[in-house]
Formats: sequence, structure tokens, C-alpha cells
Amino acid sequence: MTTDPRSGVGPAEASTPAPGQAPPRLLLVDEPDGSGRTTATMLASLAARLAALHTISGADAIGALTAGYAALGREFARTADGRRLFEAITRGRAGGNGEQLWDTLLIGKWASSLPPTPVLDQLRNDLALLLAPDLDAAFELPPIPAEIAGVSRTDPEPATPVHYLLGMWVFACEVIAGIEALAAATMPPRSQVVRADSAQPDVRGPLLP
Amino acid sequence: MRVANDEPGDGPFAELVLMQAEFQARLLEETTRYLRRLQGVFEPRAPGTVLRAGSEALVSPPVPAGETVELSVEVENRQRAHTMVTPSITPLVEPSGTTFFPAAEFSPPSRLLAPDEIALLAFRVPLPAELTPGTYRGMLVLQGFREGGVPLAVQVCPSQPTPAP
Repeated sequence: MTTDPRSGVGPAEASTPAPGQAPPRLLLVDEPDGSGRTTATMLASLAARLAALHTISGADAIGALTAGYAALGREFARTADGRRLFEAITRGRAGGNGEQLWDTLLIGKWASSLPPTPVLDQLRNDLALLLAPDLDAAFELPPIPAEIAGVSRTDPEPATPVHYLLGMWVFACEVIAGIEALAAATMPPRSQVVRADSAQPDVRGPLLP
Repeated sequence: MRVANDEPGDGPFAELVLMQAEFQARLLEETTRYLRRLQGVFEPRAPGTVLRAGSEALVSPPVPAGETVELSVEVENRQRAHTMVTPSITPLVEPSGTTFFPAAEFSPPSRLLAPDEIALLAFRVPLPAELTPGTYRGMLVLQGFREGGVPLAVQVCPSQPTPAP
């Protein structure tokens, strides 16, 4: 196959599907170094997260969540939409005030010293648990110890207010899309009329003889 | 009787005390940081998802500036649990350095995939009229799936001159 002279696309990339051919397929698989996403492992992770709240301080929990949102925002800022949102916030008053609050109240120093919580993974796992067909069976199993993050845990990175806002935005969009998807299968139509059941007898009592 | 403190910097031990104080503060900060990282190691892990893309790149057919590129990919969930998929595109860069921030429209913007389900994610990239011809390269990524994505190349060809009537 030759290079397209108009575009400079070489043979290594010339794998565009022809019209009528299936588009490229992406596979979503489990992490190679973990036990994978099953109802049991996600349930164990959720239970361990709840248990851990009793052993760590509120500052550490909220700081790790803040760092998690900032890490999510940092990832989103690499995309075209994220870059546009990042620049808009940075140029506006919110960017300047955010930096001032972040520096003066030492929020940045605090959040940047904590390992970021994988907030999106946790949200997706919690949504998947709500849809799991074998949740009852998972509850009947002996408690499975949750895997620990170990050395694969993401190291702390500088958390900035703009990245935090971007992360919150991505997380909020995911929450809305996720909850709508959960409800989609059984969602009644927005416009509906519920008629009174005429076959039901009137309720008789002291107020309605 | 009034006893005044020494002025800062006076006395033979002032500098030593200052250095000692700075050392203690730094030691406290580094110890806290180390303990927090250690605490993070023992935190429960959230099982995640990894994107495995094939060797195929996503290359658009040559399209003149001012028109719209339409592409699609299939996503297959090979996990044993539902997962959300939210696609996005990185900025596209042309070899000369021109960077194009596309306003891509995905359909659907997000998708909840059941185990073993395959979904088609289609997207449209409107090409601005002022875009110079060339090949703009970037990535199609799925948010939250670590690194990785599909290489994407959008080919912009010169506009065809309108034939005179």
C-alpha cells in the first residue's frame, strides 16, 4: 500500500476500514495484576472502603478525594474538551480566586501530599454493583478480603484548583449519565396520565361516612 | 524593670536555632508525607478497567476543510461487570505544529456496557474552514481507563474549486 500523497499517511496507518467493513474494536478488560471486576471483588472493595473510614482521619479521607478529583481533572485536561474548559477557568476570575484560596488555606499543599483516590473507578464499581445479577450470592459468600492498593498506587501529584474543578465536572457528568443509564430500562415516559381506578371501592371511615 | 528579647539574628546561637527549626519543620513535613504514602499503600484497591486497543489506527478519509468527518469504533466489554464508557479526543497536531482542538460530537456521549456487550461509538468532527490541509494526529481516549487509546488521524485535503457555470 502506498502513501497517500495528499495527506502523508503511511502504510503503517493505512488500516482505515473500507466502506461496509467493521470499524476498529476496543476491548475493555480487567487489569492484568488484579483479580478483576467481579461482584465479589467490587463488594469487598466497597466494604473495605467503608471500614477504612473508621481508621483514618476525616482530613485524610477528604484530602485523598480532593487529590482524586484533581487527578481526574488532570487526565481530562489532556483532551480537547478538557483543554478548552481548563483555559476558560484559568483565564476567568474563578481561576485567580481559586489559586488564592488554594494557596492561602494550604488546600493545595494538603491535597498534593495524599495519594489520589480513584474516584471514577469507585463510582463505576458502585454502579456495576447496583446492576449485578448475583449480588445475593456474593453476600452469602464468606467475606473476601479486599485487595490493597500496594505499590501500584498512584503517587501524590500536585493538585491545582482548576484540575480539581475539571475533575468534579467529569465526575458529575459520569454520575448523571450513570444514573440515567441505570434507570433507562424501567423509566416511565415523561408525559403520562394515570387514571383513577374506578373499580376500587371508596374508603369509608369516620371522616368519609 | 524591662527585659527585652534579643533582636532576631543576634547572639551566637541564633543562626543555629533557626537552622534547627527549619530542619525540624522539614522533617515533620517529610515524615507526614511518608506516612500518608504508606497509608495509601494499604488502602483498599478499586478493581479497574484497562483499554486494550488493536494495532489499527483510526484514519479518516481525506475531507476538505469546512466539512465534517464521521468515524466510529466498536467497544466490547470483556469484563464480568457493567462499565461506563465515555469517549473523548485529544488535541490533534499536524507535523508543522498546527494544533486543532476538535469540537467532537459523540453519539452516544456515554454508554453503560453490560458484560460481553458490544457498542458502536460514532463521532463527528466538524473541520473549521480555516484549517490548513494536512494530517492531524491525536488519540481517541476513554476517560478513566489509565493510559491508552486509539491513534487517530484526521486527513484534511484542499478544498475542490467550485466549477464555473
